[in-house]
Amino acid sequence: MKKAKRILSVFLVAAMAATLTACGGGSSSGGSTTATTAGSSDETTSDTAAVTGDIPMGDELKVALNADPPTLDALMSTGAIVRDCNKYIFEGLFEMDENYQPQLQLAESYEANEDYTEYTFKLRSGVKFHNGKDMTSEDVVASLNRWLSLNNAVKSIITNGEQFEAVDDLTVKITLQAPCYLLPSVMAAPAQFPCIMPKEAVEGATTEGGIQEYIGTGPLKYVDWVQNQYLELEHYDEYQGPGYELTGEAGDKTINFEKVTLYFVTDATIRSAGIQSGEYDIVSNLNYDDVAMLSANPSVKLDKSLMGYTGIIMNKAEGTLGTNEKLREAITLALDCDEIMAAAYPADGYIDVTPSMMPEGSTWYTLAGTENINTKNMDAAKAALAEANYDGTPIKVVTNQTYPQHYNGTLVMVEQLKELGVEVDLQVVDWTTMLEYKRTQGTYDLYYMDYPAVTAPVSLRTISQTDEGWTTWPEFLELLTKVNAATSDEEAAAAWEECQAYLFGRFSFVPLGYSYYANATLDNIEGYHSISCQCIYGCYRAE
Amino acid sequence: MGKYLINKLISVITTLFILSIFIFGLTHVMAGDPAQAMLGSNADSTQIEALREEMGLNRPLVEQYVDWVSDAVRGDLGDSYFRHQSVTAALAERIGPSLILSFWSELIAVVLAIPLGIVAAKRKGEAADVAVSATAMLGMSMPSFLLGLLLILVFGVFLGILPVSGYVTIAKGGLLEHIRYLVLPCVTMGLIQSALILRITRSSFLDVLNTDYIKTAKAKGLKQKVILYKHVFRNAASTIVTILGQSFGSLLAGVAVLETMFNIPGMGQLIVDSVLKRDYPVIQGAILFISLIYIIINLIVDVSYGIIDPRIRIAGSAK
Repeated sequence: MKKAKRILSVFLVAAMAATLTACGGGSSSGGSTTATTAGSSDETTSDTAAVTGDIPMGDELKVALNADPPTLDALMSTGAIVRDCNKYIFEGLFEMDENYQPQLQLAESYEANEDYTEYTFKLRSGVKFHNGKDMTSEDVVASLNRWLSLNNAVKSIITNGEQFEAVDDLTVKITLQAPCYLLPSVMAAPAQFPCIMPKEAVEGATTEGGIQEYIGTGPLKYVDWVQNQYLELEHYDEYQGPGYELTGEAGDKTINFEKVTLYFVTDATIRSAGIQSGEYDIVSNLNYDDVAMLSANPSVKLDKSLMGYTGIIMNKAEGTLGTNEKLREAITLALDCDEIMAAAYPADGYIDVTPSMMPEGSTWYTLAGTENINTKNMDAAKAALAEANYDGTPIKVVTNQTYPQHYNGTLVMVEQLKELGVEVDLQVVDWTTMLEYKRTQGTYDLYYMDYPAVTAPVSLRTISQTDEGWTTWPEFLELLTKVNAATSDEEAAAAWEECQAYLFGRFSFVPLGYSYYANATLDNIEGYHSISCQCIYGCYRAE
Repeated sequence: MGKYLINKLISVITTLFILSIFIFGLTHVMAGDPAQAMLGSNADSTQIEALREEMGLNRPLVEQYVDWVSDAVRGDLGDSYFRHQSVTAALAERIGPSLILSFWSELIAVVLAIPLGIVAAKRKGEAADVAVSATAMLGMSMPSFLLGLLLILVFGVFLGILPVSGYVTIAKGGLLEHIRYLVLPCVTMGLIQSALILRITRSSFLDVLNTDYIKTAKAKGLKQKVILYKHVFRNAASTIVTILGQSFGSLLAGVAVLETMFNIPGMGQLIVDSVLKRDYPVIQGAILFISLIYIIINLIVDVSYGIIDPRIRIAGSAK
């Protein structure tokens, strides 16, 4: 009996201890010389974060995102989730509008000389960081020079070690050895975004860990970040926008909530359950299979935002496809892009099957060289296969199940390849292994992939020379330099047209089209619309 | 007892050392690395190689292993590549929710399984036994995530009375909110664990009920309650305690699927996340830590045998 009592006592103490451990624990768009803001409003924006008109200020907005960011430092990762999280904290000199064009944000204006080798940016005055410090040119110079050293796309166009420098407190300049017409576009691109932060925060960044403080100029301030759980942000009352209406991610960014919590809910089923139960106000990247069910739910509203472009990457450097252009042609002719996209995104209205590598609506959009894309001509494909002298070596196809659209699209593609008469060796790996394979020779011949939308072709991953298919043809690289060296929209677009025509003429890559995220909000959330992933500016909770 | 503990300590150290080689080897054999996972799918090779160099991933594996082990022996499990904290701090942060969940899940499992197991054993072959056994079989066959999803659907979506995911500490949301967020995951895990415990309880009781001394007790005219709870239970307890130890250990190690689904910041989620990101120090440290937990739990179970059954004594401590 005594022993039993002793055991019971230990048990009760353990119970209490376990419970107590619970106590513990977010110039204008390209080309012109002197740029102005994009919108038409002349009103000052000294307090754009305050309640405007009859829009009520809500307590907390709960947003469920589909991934967990590995870092909040945009320069330490190219993952879209990083910008989706940090965009409310940090702004750049430029931001992307709804037509994927750069617009002035922290820059009030900019000038470029005739040959685009010198840029001078005039900064907006009176902008304060979240720690109360005034934004000056030294902060911008530190932030942008760090961006120059770490951003892949810009390193390919600014190749001579040029640096930004301060002219005065509110003026920043860069002098380039080669023309760079696209600089504002690249500065507005979401991937590895040039976030402006205090000089001290830049200096405190480590090579391995990135920035250690999250202090920006955005409409929300960093409060707390618990990995795998949430990022907590609070309303920044001193926020100052550029003074024009929001377009895409550019303009006055109004937040109508005192607090915003971004939850990292990686399971799509749970995100779907969460919006139905009202636990979250907004969820992003739903399962396409849930779209029909949610559209019938009166308490939920659906929304879509651009995910990016999708395609089939082919290894052009070596392997079965690298040395056999005819085989690449046969595969290109055989692939039914509509079928593949329908399998990857099985909900109506979330795909745009188009062969252009740049989105419709942007100045880069072109259909040059797309005659052989999505022809659904299996006879022509088989004829090309015969000419290719294909010896039956299995084509290595790699995919992953981390992103269901990759897996589903690949399965349909594999069936089409088999119908063509090609042997396939399909390998399904986890995401990090997939990243390794993408840059390692000998691991694949082709794979299905999607990429975030970009503002300029120089940022396209599908023309990388060091991985993602290894596009290293000297003729193409020469054409690409013409794009970077262009001095007007028309010249750049024409040069890009030649590039795309060349790529498709050599069956470099099979573009499938553009895809959209399926997002949802509660019925009482008004004013929500995203250009990419999710964007909460201007939305509010109706009474 | 002293000799037993010394032998046990030597065994633990040897086990952990062999395990360290195994863990280190496995983590580094996986394709992909933390530099890649950090920089994301749109990083180019040059950038990835530069970060790999910075992280020391290009050093010879033997050198990396020796550095890691020599630090680990001194209690330093290294720093996470992603979490801006040491591995020890990450583990300390994550063990709390796992402890809470494990404790309450195990309690639910025990409260359900043991009485029902006893009932099933008492009424062997009758309708009650069949019903209970069939339910236990269903529980053992059903994947935990499926049960979790069903409960989420019913209580979270249809009835709307419980949150579908997340974890709130008492400090952040108060006791009631803390409990609300625990109900679904704990009930899910508890029900799944109860299935096996129930079956073991039933079979242990049946084994003891058929022994001669129980027949003697019945023949003596002892009341059934006394027989069951004083004699049968005590003799069947060793087996039940063994399974409770294993069950608690597996819960504490983190039920990865459920923690990921319910978004609970426990050990399971930490390990899954670290594996996906190839956060080598955390993977290695977490697995070593979990191994140690299992060893400690087994030690407690071993010692408890002696308390439950005085005939069992630790080697070298017999009177």
